[in-house]
Amino acid sequence: MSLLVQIAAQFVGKKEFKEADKAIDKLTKSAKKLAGAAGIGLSTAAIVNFGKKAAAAFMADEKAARQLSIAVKNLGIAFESPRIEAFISDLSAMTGITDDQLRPAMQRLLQTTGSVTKAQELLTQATDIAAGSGVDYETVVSDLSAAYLGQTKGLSKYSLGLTKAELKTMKFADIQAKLNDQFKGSNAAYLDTYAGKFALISNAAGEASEKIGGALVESLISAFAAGDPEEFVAKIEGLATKIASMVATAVFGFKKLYYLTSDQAILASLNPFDDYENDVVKIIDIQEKMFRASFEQIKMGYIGSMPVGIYPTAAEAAAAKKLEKDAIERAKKLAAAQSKQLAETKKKNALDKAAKTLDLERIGIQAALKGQISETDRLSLQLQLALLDKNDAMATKLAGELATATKNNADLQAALIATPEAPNPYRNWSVPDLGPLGGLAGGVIAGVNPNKTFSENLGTQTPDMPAFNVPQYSADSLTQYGPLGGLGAGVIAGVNTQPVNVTVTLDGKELTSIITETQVNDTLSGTFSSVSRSSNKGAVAML
Amino acid sequence: MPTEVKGAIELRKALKKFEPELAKETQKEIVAALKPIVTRARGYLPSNEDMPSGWLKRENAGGRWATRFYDQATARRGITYKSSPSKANRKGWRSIASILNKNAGGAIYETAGRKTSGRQGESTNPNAGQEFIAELAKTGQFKNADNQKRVGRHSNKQVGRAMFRAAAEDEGKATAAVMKAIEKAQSKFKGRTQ
Repeated sequence: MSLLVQIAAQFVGKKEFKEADKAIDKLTKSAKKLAGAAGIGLSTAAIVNFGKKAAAAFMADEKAARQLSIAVKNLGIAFESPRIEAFISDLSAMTGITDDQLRPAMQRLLQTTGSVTKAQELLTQATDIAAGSGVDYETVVSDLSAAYLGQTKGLSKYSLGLTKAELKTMKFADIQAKLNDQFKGSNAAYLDTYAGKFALISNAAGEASEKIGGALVESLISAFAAGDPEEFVAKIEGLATKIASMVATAVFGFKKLYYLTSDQAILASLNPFDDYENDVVKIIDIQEKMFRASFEQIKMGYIGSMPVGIYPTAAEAAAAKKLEKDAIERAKKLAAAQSKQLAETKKKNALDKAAKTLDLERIGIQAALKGQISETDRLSLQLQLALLDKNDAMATKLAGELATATKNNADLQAALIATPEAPNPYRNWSVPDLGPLGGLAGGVIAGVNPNKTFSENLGTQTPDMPAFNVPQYSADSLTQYGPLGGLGAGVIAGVNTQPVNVTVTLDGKELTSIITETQVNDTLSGTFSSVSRSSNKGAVAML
Repeated sequence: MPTEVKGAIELRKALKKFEPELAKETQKEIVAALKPIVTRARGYLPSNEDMPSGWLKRENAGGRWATRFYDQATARRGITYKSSPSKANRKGWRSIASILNKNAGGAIYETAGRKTSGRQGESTNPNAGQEFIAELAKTGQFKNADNQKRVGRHSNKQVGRAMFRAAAEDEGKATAAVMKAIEKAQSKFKGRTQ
C-alpha cells in the first residue's frame, strides 16, 4: 500500500453505483427474456408506459377535437358540433380510420365546401378512395378538397383513365361520380381482410391494441363477439362507457356527500330560508351532466342553460338550411366559374391553334425576298418557298436555275483569279529635261545627267541651281528695317532710307493715346488687358 | 484535497489520439509541476544514521518487519510521481496527477505517530512504540497537505513528514501548474481542431 497525494482528479462516479446499474440492466434483460419465454407481454413498466401513451393519445385527440370545434364555430355552425362529432365517431367505428385522421379531414372539407352534408359525403367517399387506391387518407381528402375548387392536378394518381386536359374540363360532380364508380365499396372489402379487421380493432382500442398480436385479436373477437369485429368494438365501447359512468356516479356522489355533511350544510338545514343543500346538489348535478357529456353520446337536453342535442332547434335548423342553400349556390357559382374558365380555355386553345397556322418561316422568306439580295440568294429563297408550298414543278425549275447560277458564279470567280495583274502604264516614263526657266531645254541644268532618272540624279550629287536675277543680302542687313517695316536700307533702289514719322489721329486724338486709354480702362474694369510673357506680369485673366 | 478537473481524462485521451505531440507536451508540463514536490519530499527523508538502528535493514531478518525496514535510498526511490490517470477509487475519483510514496519504510516514516503517540505492540518493551515515534519526531515534523478550511474535525489523512509535508509547503503551486497545463492543452486542442 502506498501513500498518495492527489494533485488533480476527476470524479467519474462511484464504482458501486455502476455495478448497481449493471446489475439492474442484467436483471431487466433477464426479466424480459423470462417474460418472453412465459408469453407474458406486460410488466408494471409496460402498463405505466401504456398509461403514458394513452394519456398522450387522449391529449392529441382532445387537441384535434378542439381545433375542429373552433373551425366549426368559425363557420357559424357551432350547433352542428355534436352531429359532426357523432358522425366522426360512427365513421371511425365503421371504417377503421381513427378520429385523429377524420377530424382534420372534416375540418378541411368543411372549410372548403361550407356544407356539413357535402363534407360528410366527401369524407365517406374518401375512405373508399383511400382503401381502393392505397393512397393515404389525408392525401385523398386533400386531393378531393382541391378538386372541389377546380384543381385537379392531384387526381391523376388515382388512375381514372382521364387525361389531365380531360380532368381540367370536368366538373367536380362528374369527377366525384367517376371516383365513386371506380372505388365504391373498396373500404368494405378492405374491412373484410385481416388487415381491415385489425385496423378496426386498433382504432377502437387505441394505442394499446397495436401491441396486441393478431392471435390475441382473433381470440378476443371469437370469444366475445363470435368473430364479428364491429360487435367487439361496440362491446369495448359499451364497457368503457359503463365504467366511466360508474366512476362519475361514485365521484359526484362522494362530492354531494362531502358538501351535504359540511358545517355549512348542517347550519343551513337549521335555517328555513337557506337553500344551500339544494343549490349544492343542483350545481353538482350540472357538473356531473357536463362530465357525462364528455364520454356519453350526446342526447337531447340541456347542460345548464346550454342546449345540447343532435337535433337542432327551429332557428338552428333554419340556419343550417340557409347554410346548405348558400353552399349549393356557391357550388353552382363555382361550377359556372369552371364553365367560364373552360370556355376561356377553349377560346385560348383556338387562338393557339390559329397562331400555329401562321408560318413565321414563310413570312421571313418573303421579307427577305423584298430586300437587296444577289441572284443566287433570290433563287435560294424562292426555292425554299416552293419547297414550303410543296410545289415540286417550281422547285425543280428553281433548283436547276440555282445550280446554273451557282455554276456561273464559280466560273466567274475562277476567271477573276486567273486574270493577270494589270501593269503600270507609266512604268517606262522618265522625267523630261527642264530648262533654266522651267522650260524643256535639254541640258540646261548643270550637273544633271539626262540619261539618269530624277531620283538617281538627286542621289548622286546636288545639282547646281541656275543663277536667278535676285540680289544678294547680308545677314546683318536683314535685321534692319526700313521706315515701313521693309527691308534694310539700300535694299530696294529708289526708296528713301531716312526714318519717316507718321502720326495717326482718330477723332482728334492720337491713336497711341486711344490704345493706352482703352487698355487702362479694361484693366480697371477687370478685363484681361495684356500679357507680358517675359515677366509673367499681367498674366491673370480677369473676367 | 485534490482539485477536480472535469473532462481532463477525456481530453488527454483525445490528445493522445489526435494530437500526440501536444499530449506529450502536456505530459511534460504536468511532470515539471510535480517534480519539485518529489524532490523536496525526498529531501525530508532522513539518513539511515538518524533512524533507530533496529529499523534498518538487517541480514537474515524474518517475520513481519523483514520487509518494512528503513533505507534512505530505497525510500527516496519510493517517492515518485504519476502523471497518467489512475483507476477510480472507491469513491469514484480518478487522479490525473499524483505523488506517491510507495516504499514501506518511507510510508512508515511518513505517517508513524500521526494518529497516536505510540501504542503497546508485540514488543517486550511496553514503550517501544512511543520511543520509536519519539525518535522519528526528532528527524522531521508533521504537516497537513489538506490545507482547506472546513467546519468540523480535520482529517489527518493528508498529514505526513515527507511527501505530505512537501505537498503542504508547495502551497498549491503544483496544482495550479497542472491545471494551467491542462487548460493550455485544451485551448490548443480546440484551436487546432476547429
